[in-house]
Amino acid sequence: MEIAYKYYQLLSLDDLSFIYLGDFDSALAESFSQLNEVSTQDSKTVKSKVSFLISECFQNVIKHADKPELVTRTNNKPSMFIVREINNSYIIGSTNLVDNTKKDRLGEKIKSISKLNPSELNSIYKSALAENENTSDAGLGLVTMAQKSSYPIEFEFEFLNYFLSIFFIQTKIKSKEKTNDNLFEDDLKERSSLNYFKSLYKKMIDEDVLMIRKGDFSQQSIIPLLNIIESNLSSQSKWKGVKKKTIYLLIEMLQNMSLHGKTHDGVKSGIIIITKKFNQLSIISGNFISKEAVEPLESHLNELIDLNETELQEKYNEIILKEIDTSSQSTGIGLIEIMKFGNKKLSYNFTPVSDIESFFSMCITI
Amino acid sequence: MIMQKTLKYKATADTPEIIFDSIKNQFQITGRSLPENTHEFYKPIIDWMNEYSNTPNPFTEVEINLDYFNSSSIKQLLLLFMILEKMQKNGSIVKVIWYYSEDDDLNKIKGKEFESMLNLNFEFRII
Repeated sequence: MEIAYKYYQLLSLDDLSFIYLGDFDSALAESFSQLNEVSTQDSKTVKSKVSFLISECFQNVIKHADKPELVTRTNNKPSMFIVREINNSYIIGSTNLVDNTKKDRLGEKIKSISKLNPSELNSIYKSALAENENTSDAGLGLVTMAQKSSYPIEFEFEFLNYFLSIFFIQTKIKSKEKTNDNLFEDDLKERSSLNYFKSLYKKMIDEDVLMIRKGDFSQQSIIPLLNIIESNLSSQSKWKGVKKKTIYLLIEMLQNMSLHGKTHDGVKSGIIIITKKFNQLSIISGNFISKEAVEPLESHLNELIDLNETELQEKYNEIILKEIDTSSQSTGIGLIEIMKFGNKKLSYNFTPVSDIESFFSMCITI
Repeated sequence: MIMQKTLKYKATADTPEIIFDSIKNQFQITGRSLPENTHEFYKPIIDWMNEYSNTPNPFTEVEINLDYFNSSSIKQLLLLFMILEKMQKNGSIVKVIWYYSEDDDLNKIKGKEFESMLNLNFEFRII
């Protein structure tokens, strides 16, 4: 359970984080853009730039990731996509495998584009369009990424084997005009660095994490998130059988966070993590609760965990048929639903974080 | 109070399409039911059905075709079904048609749960 709080801490400076490992397609890019649209309060211009960069990063992975999916999986180096809002800037990045014969040329291309000023970038862009150049060779995409970014594109190749390297790339956009660039404060600088991105990638692979979403869990962010998960599970035949159950459980966990999570720093901040271990998916949620709420919640959870399948169903029927205040969004059956449809018993953890708050996390396996 | 003969809502990203038409004898709830405030969304629907139950058509078939719904929607659906159950008890012919896709056992289970709680005709159909 500590995994939820651990990743929450790793991303503690982020107002929003979305990290996804897995298969990529254009439909996913659309869902990510929607998530970005509802998750931020920024201007249309900034949102548009972020959406554009999301799309470009996706295209980068879809078009230029070398080697078929099988090799990616064999090497256990899946592609990754990341979008983070940290200190009023956005970081968008991706990682994928590339053939070693191509990396020098790609690296040179990015370096040369990064040296250009906006006017030179515009000029290259226009001439590439005018010549109707075949831009599938990362050319135009990188130029437009450089145009939209507020900082030079960061990238690195990490040698994997004789044939392949892992290609990490990230761009940053300022979302607000600031006189001081806070990204250069030490802790923020470290958390925003490409090295941090790489370390997150390694941790997530080591711990079988498929997806992380950290931020404000408002109702609006639930739908794009569901679309992303649904799309991902649909594209992989081994998960198709559990897709519906996964989404159903995710809905309950998200709404549980939205209803019962404590406001922390002005938002209902929490984290959702999906992991895959021994061919089983698990959903882990984490959110803040008041210290007073810990004991009654723990007691309630233990009561439910002790029930067998039949007793759980009876409890469900008892609660749902009772005359309760139907105007309350909380029906009392959310946790029961989660427990009924999980493959194993629900597990949970409370981590005290201050005199008045604890971090509550729970995990259900599908 | 004069009852509206029809009640129609378009589907949104988190609320279902509602078609309740007493003239065409059509009663459908279709899509996703994940409203932020479930009570607020379903209150007019339940009120409408309550009103309809005072002078129902001889035969009422309610089609439920929801691909996802949250637990607070379950309570609201139960309230709706309880009205239908009362109609059936009062002599109307009432049926709930519960749709589910072949790969969605959980949806079928939810429908069966409703059936087990109520004295109401349910028919299960694969989409």
